[in-house]
Amino acid sequence: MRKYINSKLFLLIIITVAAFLRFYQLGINPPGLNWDEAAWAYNSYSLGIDGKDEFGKLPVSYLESYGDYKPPLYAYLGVLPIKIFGLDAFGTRFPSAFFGVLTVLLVYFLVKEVFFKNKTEPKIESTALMASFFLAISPWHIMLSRGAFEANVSTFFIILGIYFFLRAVNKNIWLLIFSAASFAASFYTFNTARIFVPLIVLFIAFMFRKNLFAAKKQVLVSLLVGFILVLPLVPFLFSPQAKLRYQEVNIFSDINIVKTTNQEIANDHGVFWSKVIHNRRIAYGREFLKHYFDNLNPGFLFITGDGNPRFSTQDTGQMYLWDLPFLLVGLYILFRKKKGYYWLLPVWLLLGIIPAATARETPHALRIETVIPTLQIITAYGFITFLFYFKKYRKVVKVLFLIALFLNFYYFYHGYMTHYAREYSSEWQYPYREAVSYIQDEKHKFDKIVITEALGRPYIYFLTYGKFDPKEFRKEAKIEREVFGFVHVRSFDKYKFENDINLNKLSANTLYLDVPRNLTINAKIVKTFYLMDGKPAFIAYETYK
Amino acid sequence: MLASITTNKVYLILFLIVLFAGILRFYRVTDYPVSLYWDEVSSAYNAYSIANTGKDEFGTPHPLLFRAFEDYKTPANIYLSAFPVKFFGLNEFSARFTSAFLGTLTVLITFFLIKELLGKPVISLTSGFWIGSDYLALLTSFFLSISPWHTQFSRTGFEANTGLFFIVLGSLFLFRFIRRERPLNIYLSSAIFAVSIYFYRSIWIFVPLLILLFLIVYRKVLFAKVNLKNTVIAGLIFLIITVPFAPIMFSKQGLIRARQVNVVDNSTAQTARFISNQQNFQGIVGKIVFNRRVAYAQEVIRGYLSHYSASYLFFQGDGNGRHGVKGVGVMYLYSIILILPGLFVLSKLERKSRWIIITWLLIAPIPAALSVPAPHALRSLNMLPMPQLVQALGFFMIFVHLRKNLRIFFSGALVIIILFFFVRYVFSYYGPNANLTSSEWGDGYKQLTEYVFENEKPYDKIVISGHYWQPYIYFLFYKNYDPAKFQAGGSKKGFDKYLFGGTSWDMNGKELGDQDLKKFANTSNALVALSPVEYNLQKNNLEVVKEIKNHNNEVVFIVGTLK
Repeated sequence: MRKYINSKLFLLIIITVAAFLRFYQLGINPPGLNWDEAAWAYNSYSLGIDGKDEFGKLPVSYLESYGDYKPPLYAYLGVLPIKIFGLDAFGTRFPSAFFGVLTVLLVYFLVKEVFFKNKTEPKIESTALMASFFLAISPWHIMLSRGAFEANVSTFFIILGIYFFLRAVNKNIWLLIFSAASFAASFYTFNTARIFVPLIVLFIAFMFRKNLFAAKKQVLVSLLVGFILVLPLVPFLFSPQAKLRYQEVNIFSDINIVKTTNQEIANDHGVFWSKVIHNRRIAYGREFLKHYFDNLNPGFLFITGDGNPRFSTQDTGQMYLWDLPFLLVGLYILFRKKKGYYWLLPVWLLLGIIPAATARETPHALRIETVIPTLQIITAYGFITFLFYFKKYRKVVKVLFLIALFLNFYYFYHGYMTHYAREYSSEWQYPYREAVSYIQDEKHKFDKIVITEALGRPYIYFLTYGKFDPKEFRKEAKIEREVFGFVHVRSFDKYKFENDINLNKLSANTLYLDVPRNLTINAKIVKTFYLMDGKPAFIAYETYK
Repeated sequence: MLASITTNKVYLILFLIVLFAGILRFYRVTDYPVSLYWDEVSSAYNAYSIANTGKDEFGTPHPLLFRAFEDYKTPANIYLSAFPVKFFGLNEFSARFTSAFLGTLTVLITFFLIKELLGKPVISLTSGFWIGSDYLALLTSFFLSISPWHTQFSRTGFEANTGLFFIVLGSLFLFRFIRRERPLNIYLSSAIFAVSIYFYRSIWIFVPLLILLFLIVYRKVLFAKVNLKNTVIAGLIFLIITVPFAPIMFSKQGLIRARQVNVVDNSTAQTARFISNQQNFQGIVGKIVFNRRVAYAQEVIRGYLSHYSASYLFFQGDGNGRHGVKGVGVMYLYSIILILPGLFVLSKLERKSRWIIITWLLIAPIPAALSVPAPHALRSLNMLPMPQLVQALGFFMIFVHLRKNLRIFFSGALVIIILFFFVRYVFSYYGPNANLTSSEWGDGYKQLTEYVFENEKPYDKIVISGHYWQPYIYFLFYKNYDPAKFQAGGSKKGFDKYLFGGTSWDMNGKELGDQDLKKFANTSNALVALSPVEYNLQKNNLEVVKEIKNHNNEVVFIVGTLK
């Protein structure tokens, strides 16, 4: 009985820690809304007003946004938080942070299902708690929970789907319906789920084929539920837009590989053996494997993390260096002891990387976020096994190692809370906030405001930070759509957006917002906007009167 | 099961493997890599100098560090190369002979090392399945013979590769002592380990760690009452052999290379970031967290772990053109499928052997981690032949877990896959890759010397550009210039009628681009060879007579007479 209470108490503490790490200063660190976050913010806002997106459509299978056809669910999840907390960073990031905390809780229950037959053993109880704790302080999960990353929500749904599947097999087969619904939700949340979920579901279904055959009715109902829920998405998935978006980032559309292999064959005068060893299919296969294993690069996982500062502080890996030995021990023990559904974790890990391996940019912390819980669970399993190896001094060893982990954590957290924002404010489009509020105050003095597109998608910031009424925006905005689907907003209200402002053709009574550059004689800078590290990012100028 | 194979058959197969290794290491070794690079030429010429005069190029008698390019080369490989140089004469073959020969022998003794390491004649992989250690040792030798990592370095006069031979041999004798407890073995072992220290700087760190590892794992044997005396004597032998070298190792000259490549003096970007962060966040916490030393530690750990990244191991190696073929890792791509099960099967081995294998794999990259750039295939070469053993274990692990009829299928498929990658590597090595890396091998010097030696008669002076670094050594080497004469009257700046320019990035040398060539040569009757960069500045002063191209068809030297 005492153990039972202890465990609940620990879990409560872990969740509190997780919530603190995800919500504290959520609105100001990261220091600004990046393009995608700003788009989520405004679309949620717009949906909250009249149930339509920024361009006046009801998003079902996709949200058009910049022409990148985002899966729409995150925008819906943001409606309520933005209604409550207002149209700003906190509300926008709320769903991601909230589901991040829920994921920490869920992982505890997931571990108990994975090791269902041994779940009362103290080792498994401790592993479940420890896995949940490791996820709570994971730099990877903290950073992805603190931005409006739809991947983070999708990860929650995927884990929930797997949890319900195991629960269904272990306890009540009807729960399969919930599993199907969760997986379907992940389809509406993030693109990589559309590759990963079918793979993992096929695999688990195969492993549990006996249980499933024994419950044909329930399986059929669940399949039906899943099918109906996914149905609205199907036409879009096979549309040219979806294909285009996929090809942009895909290694198999990389023509250079074909060129190289052809060149190599030509160098050998096209002889038979050269055609065999320089076969382009093998070259693509090699490329796939290379990108696949990039995601397991120790430097990426344990030292510097993803090269994109939005996903890593660059000083800590996606995991702590501390985790490394226990991850290895955990993997070893997993195969050695073969407890419960031990096979699920490594298979999940291996399948989770596949969607990222077909992309050109690897490693990619966001696209492989699905694998996070497996790494934390295996590490926890390794750590607990290691602790149980000691009988006499277990407490001392535990405390010593947790202190070391705390130092590792503190190193990350200090960097993240004190230096990160200043160093990488440009990654979060920080200067837009100040620029928009300045221009809103000055707007009445001018006929026209001309804004550069050099820093990308300025219109969304004037909508979001300016809290512009979506109905009016739809009425006034001049919008162009490229053949490839990309959307350009050219103007609305007094704002005009230009690719490159021509300094020789400045007009009077106009305020310009531009990147820092040398002005011609007839214009003067009225204000400069800086990044947090003191570098200028924007200047506002007007012509002399 | 699978345990019966006659000894004769084993040795026949071993012989074939070693023969194959020899072919891979010796076939056209003078033509591929396309040119001897600076260090090879320098080592060979110093060996020649030692063989003929007992002194190095500077006239120092029997040095323990060779000053060479002011990089103070480790001595053993040079002394060892004196034999082939004496025997075959000073030429490209003798310059590469030591490494290729000992590389081939490494394949042979790897077989015996693995047999001794695994201990029993048969080992159990799964309950009921026994496998002869002969099979594992043969397969390990085979994997080593075709290893791109080992082949690459055996075909060049790399002293790390000759050093590896002594490490494997020393370990072999140590195991023979541990298994059989005959004192001669441990004496030989410690002597060989001590000699290996003289070969390469990364071995300075690796071998002491390896010996320490043996002492800990086999403490019960080595410090047993009956053996203690022998262990102590072996320790003394080790000390006696290394004592002359110790003060030199840690002298200014001995550490010069360490200073050029160590992490602390060479990781600037991350350190700068840390210092800027520290200034931004005053106070004790900032000073502790964003400490310079943390940045170094981070860099060392990153370098260390990078030796285990898949992209280094299986896809592209360390990126240095001298260390491998483009698009091939230090191991073949197919090794991935063998390594993972192989690592797992380590758990089935006898405890002590297992710890030796695992720790050997873990300590090998330490010297490379302390230096930049990392990963570094040459500085971590000491890892061999353990990755090959793991692959062999992995093969049998998969093999025994398959159903009988699938085993033949699996083995056949693997043979085809290995053949595919092996053929691809060989064709790439002897094919396009050879010429693509021309510039990294100092290619062009040989062609230049050939042209110069043929046409030098009418000129009073020959002026050679130093743009590509150390031209003098190529002229000494290809001229077979008498070392006694060079010691007496020559220097890096010139000998005989040859004059050499400096290298702008090395020791503030002055290149020939902006110098008065007539004044430099002290005559107007001179033949001048310049790099294209220098030639562009001297266009008006030269009458071009010849362009020297490397194997990649790039113009390396433009030869002309003074106008």
